[in-house]
Amino acid sequence: MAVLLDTGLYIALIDPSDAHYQRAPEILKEIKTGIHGQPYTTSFVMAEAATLVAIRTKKNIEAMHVIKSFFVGDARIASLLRPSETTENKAWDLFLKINSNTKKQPVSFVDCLNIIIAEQHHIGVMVTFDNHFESWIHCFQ
Amino acid sequence: MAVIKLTKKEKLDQLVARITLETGHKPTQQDVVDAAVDLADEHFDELQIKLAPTALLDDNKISKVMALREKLSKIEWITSNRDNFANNDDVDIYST
Repeated sequence: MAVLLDTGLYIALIDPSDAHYQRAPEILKEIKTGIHGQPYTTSFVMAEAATLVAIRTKKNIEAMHVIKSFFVGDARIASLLRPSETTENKAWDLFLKINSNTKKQPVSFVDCLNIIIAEQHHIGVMVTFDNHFESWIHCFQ
Repeated sequence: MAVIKLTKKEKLDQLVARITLETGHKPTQQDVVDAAVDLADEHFDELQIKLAPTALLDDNKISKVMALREKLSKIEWITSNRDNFANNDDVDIYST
């Protein structure tokens, strides 16, 4: 049993203007209880979060160090999973399949990778504020 | 050379037997162990989950996260940021 953390949680933890700023610490405490299993995230979530923090703080150096520490430093929240070539290929398949439906909003390649990684590692729950994950994995927010 | 105690020798024997049956080539136990280590290295993420790290989140870690959060509450965060990108691709990917 394990839980995958999406980019939104990391941003919501530190951006006071985020809609989920108040909820984010409660989610952390819920994860700490262990009811969802071990927390994991992905290197692509790290890439998104780092870039978003740089943009939204106009490259505030303290903020960039903080977001780094959430992934690879002493405030690390979750174990980091990195996609293999096989994972990337499966994510491409899903990305092309999902986005072949022209009536729906585009789904990002990062989101597709997160879905595939969750499947491969038998991660049954995702913390995300994106509603489009619901078709593939149980989400909580 | 360090000596490692093999606790799953029976399973290792079965693997040698299966490979011999499937391929007609009988590897040594050492060959199988070496290949298993290479495979574990190539599939590190799965190895990491299998070995289940100790709990990352505890009260101490949450306090640390909350202290960092408090520090960042004082800085300016922007929510409308289309002017802050180097190119239009980044606008489409990251703009709010």
